[in-house]
Amino acid sequence: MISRYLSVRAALCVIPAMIPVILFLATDSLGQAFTISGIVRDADSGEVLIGANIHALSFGTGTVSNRYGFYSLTLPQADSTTIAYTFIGFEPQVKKVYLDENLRLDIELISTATLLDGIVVTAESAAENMAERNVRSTRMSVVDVPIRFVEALPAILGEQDVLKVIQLLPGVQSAQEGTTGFHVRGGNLDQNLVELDEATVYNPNHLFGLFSTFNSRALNHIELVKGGFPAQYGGRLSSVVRISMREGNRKEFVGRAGVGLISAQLSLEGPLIKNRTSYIISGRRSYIDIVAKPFQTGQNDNTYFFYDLNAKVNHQLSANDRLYGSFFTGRDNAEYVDSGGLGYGIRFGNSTGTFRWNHLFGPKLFSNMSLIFNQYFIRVNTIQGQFYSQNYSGIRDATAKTTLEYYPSPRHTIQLGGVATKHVFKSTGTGGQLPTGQVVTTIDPERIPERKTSEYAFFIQDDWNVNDRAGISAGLRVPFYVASDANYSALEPRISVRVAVDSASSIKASYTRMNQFVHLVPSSTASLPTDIWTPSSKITKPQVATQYALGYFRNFKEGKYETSLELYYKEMERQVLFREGTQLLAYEDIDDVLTFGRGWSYGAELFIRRQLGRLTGWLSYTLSWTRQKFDALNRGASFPFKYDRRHNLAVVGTYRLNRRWSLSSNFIFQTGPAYTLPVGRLFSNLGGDLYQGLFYDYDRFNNYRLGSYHRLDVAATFKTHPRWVKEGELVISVYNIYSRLNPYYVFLDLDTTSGEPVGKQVSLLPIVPSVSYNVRF
Amino acid sequence: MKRQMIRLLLVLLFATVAVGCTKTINVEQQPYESRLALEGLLMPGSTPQIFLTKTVPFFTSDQTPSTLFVRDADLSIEGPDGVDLLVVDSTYNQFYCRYEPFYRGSIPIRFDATYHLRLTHSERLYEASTVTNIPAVTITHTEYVSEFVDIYGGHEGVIVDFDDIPGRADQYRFEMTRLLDNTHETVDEREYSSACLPDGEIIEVRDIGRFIYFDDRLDGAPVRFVVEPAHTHRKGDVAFLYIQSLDRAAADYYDRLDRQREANVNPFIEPVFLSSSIDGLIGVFGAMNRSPVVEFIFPEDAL
Repeated sequence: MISRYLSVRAALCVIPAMIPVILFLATDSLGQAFTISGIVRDADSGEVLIGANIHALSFGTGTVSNRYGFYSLTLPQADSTTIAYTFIGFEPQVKKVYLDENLRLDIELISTATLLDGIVVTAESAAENMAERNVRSTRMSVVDVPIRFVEALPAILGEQDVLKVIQLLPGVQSAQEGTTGFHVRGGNLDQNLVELDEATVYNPNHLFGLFSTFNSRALNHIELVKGGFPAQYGGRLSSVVRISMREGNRKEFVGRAGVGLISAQLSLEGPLIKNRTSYIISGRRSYIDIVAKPFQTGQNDNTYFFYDLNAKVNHQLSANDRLYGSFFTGRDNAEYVDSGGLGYGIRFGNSTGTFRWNHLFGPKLFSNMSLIFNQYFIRVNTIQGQFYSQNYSGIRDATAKTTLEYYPSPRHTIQLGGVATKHVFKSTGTGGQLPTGQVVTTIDPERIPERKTSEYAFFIQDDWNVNDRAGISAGLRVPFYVASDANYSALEPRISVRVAVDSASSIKASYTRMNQFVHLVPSSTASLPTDIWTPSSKITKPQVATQYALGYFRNFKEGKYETSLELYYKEMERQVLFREGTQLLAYEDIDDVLTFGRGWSYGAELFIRRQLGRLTGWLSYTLSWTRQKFDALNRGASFPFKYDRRHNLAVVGTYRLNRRWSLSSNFIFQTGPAYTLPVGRLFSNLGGDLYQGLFYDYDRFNNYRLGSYHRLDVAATFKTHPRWVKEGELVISVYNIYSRLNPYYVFLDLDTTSGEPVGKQVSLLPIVPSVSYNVRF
Repeated sequence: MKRQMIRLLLVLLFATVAVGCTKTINVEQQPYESRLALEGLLMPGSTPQIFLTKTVPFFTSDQTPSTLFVRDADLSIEGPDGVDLLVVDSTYNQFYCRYEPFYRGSIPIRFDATYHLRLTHSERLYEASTVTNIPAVTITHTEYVSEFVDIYGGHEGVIVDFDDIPGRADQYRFEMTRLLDNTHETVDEREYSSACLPDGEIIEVRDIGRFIYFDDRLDGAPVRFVVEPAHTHRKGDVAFLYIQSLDRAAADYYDRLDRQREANVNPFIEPVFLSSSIDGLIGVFGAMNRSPVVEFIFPEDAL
């Protein structure tokens, strides 16, 4: 075992001891060298461009802009050198510079749409440079999702969705239709860290997961990391989804509005002080409840609404200092009762606030300091037949984080930092048979005891391009966890290596170890979300994952096509499930009803992406196996993970027909998830007489499979130019066009005539056509 | 018209998103080999009674104790008084109008003795042992309560108080014997006693509690059971109350049965797999004891 628990004091010594060693290794002999640094922005809006390529053509080396658009490139002294700035969807820009001093070059790239009024051009150089990262970057298991692509894809009920797009990537499996979240490389829902401007969003969903809580109008960039985690990422075992909000137009006021089938949205952005201070505020609200209200009778309390609000302000204090404040809040509220004895009330919400300060200590040293607050709660009350269930989970976090990025040479990027988070948890549940003639008392959050814990982590990471053929990305993260009854610390080594096969292909491998100190305990029975978040404790120890990945990366046709084939193996220890027969009772200690085991997942992921041209999109296919083993479940034998889907195929495409029309479509095929049914029945003579009946003989956990899941979505977008606005866009989309009744879950019922048990399958979404209209003013 | 269209749209939307559709599907029966299921609790002073049934594939029609009973097994119980060869016997349950077969021994069980069960069926031998050293408790108080709420919901019941035996791990459940006529019905399915029971005739029915009490956390403390009768009652009806003390194997098995029963009907409870104290089959061979009987008269109707 490479990592082991250490004393806090011993672990704290590790990272400081590594710093001089890494800095020594990172000091390349460049002779007299100078640094070009700056920010890369969109010329239209002034929005920073994350992940833009900066390439020193004369030296054959380059770098990439970071999450704040900042880049730093140190080169040997030269009379003149040519620097190319490229970014997909933007016209490449070339600068000739004299390198006899450090240079500050803030660059504004022009959108190709602006240049050619919507006619798509194939920016060969941009494609080459962007695709080059697929082959030349040491990082693996990382996918960037351009926000423009999200906006182009078919949307359910007219709502574009970031997380739905992430579910179409290799290694990512959606949870059941209508449930929240996604599963990455066999991991559970809680093993994904979803961050919005660095703030954790514990439940990034609206409408039971039909679409996410993120309004794509307010977003700039999305990145999914599912393996080969750099040391700055931690706290979850399976993935990190980092979502950056837009900063707002620094040059002019712009408004956007949209009306869909169930909701409307409005975004306003513009400069407060031109080119120094900008803002964006963006909100959505559904209006089913408002429209339905006049039609509802007094006895019918069915209602649903959600809203979300994003706001961000940024201010450039000086050339070297920028301040950001971003805020997000979202709420869902659903009440439903039908005549068949099904009823539920779900309320949940996330709120986050992030305050950041970027400071440049010099052209080579970038820093970011953040103070982050987030709050999440979910309350689920469900009635099914004669039984009810109530769950409440609440989390409050306060986080301080700092990161230093040091660019000593074009071959090295060193990141160093620390993070401290205070968590406050409140979780409980209750349920049982409905008492006759009595009202069930609702859980009172004020009565739930708080559980306070703290997480700290320090990290250091060096991305080192050894030469043109090889690169190493190595890092170490040291997390500490403090709870009232237990302390944990660990070493998390991370390493990725790359070896070029030729100019268009490379082989990469990675090893990562991750710890997770918060747990969302999944229910194997409930068909509705029953989030119960609980922190690590003396009994519930941290989850630990060790992941190995090996990949072959190749580009075709001068970078027009990126392809990769990754193999992975992931071992997950201290996985958490409820014990058999668990029914949460109010205010009891959740640790007492949990059982612990391990899981493992392995598979192969194929990804083929085309980012340029009229036709863009990707094909992703995952072949994977995931199993779990708990001593107290399934008689101690291993069993398939609920979302052990053998095949997972997604084909995603957008075709720009002409200046006005574009078509998009996605097709998904997934093996059905596993579920548990008994295989035999037995009679008991000496069991309790009340409610006599036959009992179930279970053979194995998750012994059955739901039918496979597949659907085809299509959308058409028509751009208009009405006089009263700058731009209009009509989006017509059809979700599940052939109306496949995909299985959602199966429950058992009794045939009243034969007395024989029968299976009943519930399906959620048949064909759902929708239309939305968006304008920019 | 427009109003109706909007209403229709909303209904469709809500139905689509929130309810979806339900259809009966054919769930393929996975390969399943029938197993033996055995229940036998030895009680000092009584002769052995062993229930031996077979399990059936899940997707089969309803079964009765007679159709499930395994008649062609050889059972014996060896104890301090020799080997007792069990024979097939049955009782007729007039309430459900059915025979309930079992294997019966003839040698009374002693207190604090070791008994060894041998079962041979289809040329396979199954063996189990138990020790009949379970002490009985004494009921100290009984009382009627017209309404109370527990994890099984709200209902009426009989309060039964007794003291746990200190210094040892104990497990208990209640037993209630009732005298019923054909006007009484079960409280869950509202089943009446069948046509097999003529008007005016009284039969004895035994209720066994589903809930198993473990004294793990409260050794030696007073214990209160609130017993939910399995059948309706009238003012003046007589019941005879007992507390059964079970050995650990029996308690674990019946506790699992109870939790599985709850999980089978309550969609919010995790499924429960049944375990066995006997290798190769499902069930339990254990020991129990019973408190002295206490007569209880229901003070009011509960129909």
